[in-house]
Amino acid sequence: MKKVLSLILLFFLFITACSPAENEAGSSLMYFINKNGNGLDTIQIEKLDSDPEKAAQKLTEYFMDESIIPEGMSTVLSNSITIDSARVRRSTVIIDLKGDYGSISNTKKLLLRAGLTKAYGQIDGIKLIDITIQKQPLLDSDGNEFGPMSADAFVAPKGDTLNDYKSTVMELYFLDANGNIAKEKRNVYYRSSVPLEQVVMQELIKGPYIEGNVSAFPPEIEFNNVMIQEKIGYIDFSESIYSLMEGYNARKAFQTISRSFQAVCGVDEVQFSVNGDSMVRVNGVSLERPF
Amino acid sequence: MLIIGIGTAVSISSAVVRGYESMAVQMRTAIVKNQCIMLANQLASVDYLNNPTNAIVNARIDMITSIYGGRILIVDEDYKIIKDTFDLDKGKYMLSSIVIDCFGGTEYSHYDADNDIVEMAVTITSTEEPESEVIGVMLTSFSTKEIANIRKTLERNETLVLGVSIFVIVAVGLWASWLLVRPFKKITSAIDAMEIEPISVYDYYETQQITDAFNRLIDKVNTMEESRQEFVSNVSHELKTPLASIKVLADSLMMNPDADIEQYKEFMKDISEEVTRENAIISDLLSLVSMDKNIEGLNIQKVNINDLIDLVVKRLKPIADLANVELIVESFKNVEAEVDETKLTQIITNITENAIKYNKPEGGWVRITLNADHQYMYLTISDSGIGIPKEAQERIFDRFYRVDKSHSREIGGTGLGLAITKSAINMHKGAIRVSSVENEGTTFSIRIPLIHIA
Repeated sequence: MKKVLSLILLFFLFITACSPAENEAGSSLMYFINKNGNGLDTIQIEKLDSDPEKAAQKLTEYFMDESIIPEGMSTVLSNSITIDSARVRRSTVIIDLKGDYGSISNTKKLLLRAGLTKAYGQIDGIKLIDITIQKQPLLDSDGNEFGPMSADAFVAPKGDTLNDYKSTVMELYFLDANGNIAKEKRNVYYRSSVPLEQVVMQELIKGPYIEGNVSAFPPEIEFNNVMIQEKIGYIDFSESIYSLMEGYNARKAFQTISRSFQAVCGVDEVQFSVNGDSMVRVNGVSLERPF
Repeated sequence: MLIIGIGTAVSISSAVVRGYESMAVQMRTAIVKNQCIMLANQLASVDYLNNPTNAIVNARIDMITSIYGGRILIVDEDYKIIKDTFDLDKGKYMLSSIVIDCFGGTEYSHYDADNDIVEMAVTITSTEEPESEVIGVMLTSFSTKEIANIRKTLERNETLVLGVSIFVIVAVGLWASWLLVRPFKKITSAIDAMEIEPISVYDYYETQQITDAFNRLIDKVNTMEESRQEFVSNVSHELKTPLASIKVLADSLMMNPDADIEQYKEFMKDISEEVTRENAIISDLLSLVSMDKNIEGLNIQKVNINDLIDLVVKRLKPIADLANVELIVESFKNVEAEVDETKLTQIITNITENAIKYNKPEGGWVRITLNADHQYMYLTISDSGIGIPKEAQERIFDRFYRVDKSHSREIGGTGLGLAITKSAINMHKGAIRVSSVENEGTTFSIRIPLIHIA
């Protein structure tokens, strides 16, 4: 049986060598420590069974089979640590390890937890992975329990960066065909290094996606700074706003921005300024008080 | 040139803008990194990793992120994110190769120009034993949007300034080229319109230099033209004079059929002498022309100059005796030189013969001296003759020039002897100089290299 399993895995390894290690439809991923020992790498394997028990059993077999480890990579189960059992309890897989877990480095512990969590987290219907060592909870350096973890408990930026990408649903405000303020929801995928308030401004500048809606201000508008302090948003525009806002309803423009900030960033109000000065009027509208 | 100038200006301008961006990012990175290192030390000293609620430290973190528009993540030794100023990933675990390497001691700094962001990872090291153990990592991302905005503003200004500069450069360049070229057009027109008159275009120093040089050239051409005209006139005159004598003599005989045989003989003798004279003039002219064009070249060979002088003196002795002139030769040493024997013979003969001819009627002496050093031989031919007036001394080497034209027929000669002599000396890369005092005598000093230089 083990030989047959090895042959099947070797077949998938061949396929992996010819294609990028992405979780394509009809296949699942197996996790290993990469060649540099500073992250995880994957290979494609046969799609896991829809039965969580069978899927968990197959993954355990994969983890325990040293013959499938690609050249240069290594297993996440270092220092003779083995998987004693992997049991499914509702939407959680409880993985019990055996071996000297305490003696391995924090890095290897991280890669072990991440590898197991991401691998078993692929099983249909499974949301959490609870790892124990010889039936005892896994503890951190301070003796606190890690507890059950989901796959997204690990922030894994791709490539040469420290920041990954986040996805969120934003509630933004524009103007409808009658010039009334109109709400629009959209999925926004953004880099986590960019403050959310800046992302909101960027999305507002992009304009509405719903046909018939229009932006309340011109897309050429430039801002010097956007920030949130104590539930108040602060937006400082460059002086080009004076000429750019001619022909636009400035009050409604500031209201759409303020409402978008309230909806996405949870601020109470937004204070606008031009080149740091809020005691000004834009197209007849005073910026003295927040919107 | 205009295109090279504009291209250079555009390159320099764009390099300055790019240089600004690079320098500003480097400086900002250095400042933020310095802040991060100080903050990391503070985190370690207040045991922030175990007490992430420390208000003072959190206020400082907020201040830094607020000033630099950035995000700070603090990761503890279990790779747990215990602080995220954006509150996006707090409580999660950082599975990043950069962070893992940083725990291994390799710090990280990267400028992402596409997203206008600088990211860095600095270690938080223990202040207690064991020291320098990495107990956490601080990840900082800060925006360089402000630098990018300044760069964009600079680029806009640069485009504007460049546009104006290019316009000014083109305008000034065209005006300057028009200004520079205008005098040359004037020179060209002046040369086109010129016959032999000097031109005058004194717009600026360079054109003044060119026109002065051109005028000097014109002067030389004019002098040469005058010399040529005088030469042609002299040649015509000298060639016609014997012919006119022959014609007069022949006509006299033809008009006097009764002339006796003695008269015939006398006239025929005169005609023969005139033919001989005509022949001598033509031979000398041909000799001069050939030396001018260097047609014949020199037949250089090693010659004993003492022997050659003796030979010349021997040949001229009869006419010297006839004029009651004593020929004296003084040789200070035996001299051998690489010369054309025929031409050197002609040189010595011409000058010595003149010294005899132009001696005093009652007679006198001619002294030929020969000396040499390691480089040159020096030949002087002095006489006790009538001398040459000072004003004539400069012209005695001109063709057909005669000091006393009234006695030229009596004395004989073609008027080309000294011109031929000077040409022959020049062909030997030598020099001739004359000094004379009227009624006392004349001295010709000749210097010729011992070794011929081709």
